[in-house]
Amino acid sequence: MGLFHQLKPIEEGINFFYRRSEVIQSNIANVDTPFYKPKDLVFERELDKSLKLKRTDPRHIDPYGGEKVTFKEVTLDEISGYDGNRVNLDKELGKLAETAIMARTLNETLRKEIGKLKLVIGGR
Amino acid sequence: MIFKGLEVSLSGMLVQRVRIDVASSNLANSNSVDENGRPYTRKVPVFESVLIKEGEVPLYRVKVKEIKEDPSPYRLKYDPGNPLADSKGYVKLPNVDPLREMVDVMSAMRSYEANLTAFNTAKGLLLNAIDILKA
Repeated sequence: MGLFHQLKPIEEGINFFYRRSEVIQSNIANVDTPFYKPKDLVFERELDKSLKLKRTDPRHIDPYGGEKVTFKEVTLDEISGYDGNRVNLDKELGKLAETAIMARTLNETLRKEIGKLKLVIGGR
Repeated sequence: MIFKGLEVSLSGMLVQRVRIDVASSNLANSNSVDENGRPYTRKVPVFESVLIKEGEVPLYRVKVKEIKEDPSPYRLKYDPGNPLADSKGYVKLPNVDPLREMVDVMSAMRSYEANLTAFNTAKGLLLNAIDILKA
């Protein structure tokens, strides 16, 4: 529970979106590889857990399952093309844009948080 | 390694470039014979995904596994005056369909551009991360 405690979930989020963009890039690179199946990463549920939600009433649902933050690889089963390749190029590009925007948003958030901490430490 | 994503997209661009090269070579030789008088055979690149083992998330780059010859039959043209004609007067021409090659080039261009977009997006993300230093 240090001064930099609130940076951790943001950091994990950025890490996740970077990793996801890499997986999407690998799907796009293999768009013409026979029998390649696209992959994706799932994280959302674990991200919510790492946000350390407060329980102000005992009736609130416990947001932590005590699990570690993990990446889960998912193999997507799309409709197969004539060569057994299952990558949908437009879908992958859409996901990539979405991932990039999320990563940028979190990056900016982290920047702002660090700026605030600097202000506090500077004591002006 | 932080630049793995860039490497993956670059490998994608590379194989699409090979695909365009092969299609161009097929197009250019759509009426050629080799030094033994055998008609040119259409070439097809075969791609293969290669696992880059790094961290908990598996990533696949792509490479050209081999360049195969298209086994489909040669085109036959009735041309008795041609020195390469057989006893019935038919000449064997390459099994290249120019229209098909053009379609292949266009498809490769699309994939190349998709990889370029992915590369630029990843580059933007990395540069954006550097901005954290300016906080």
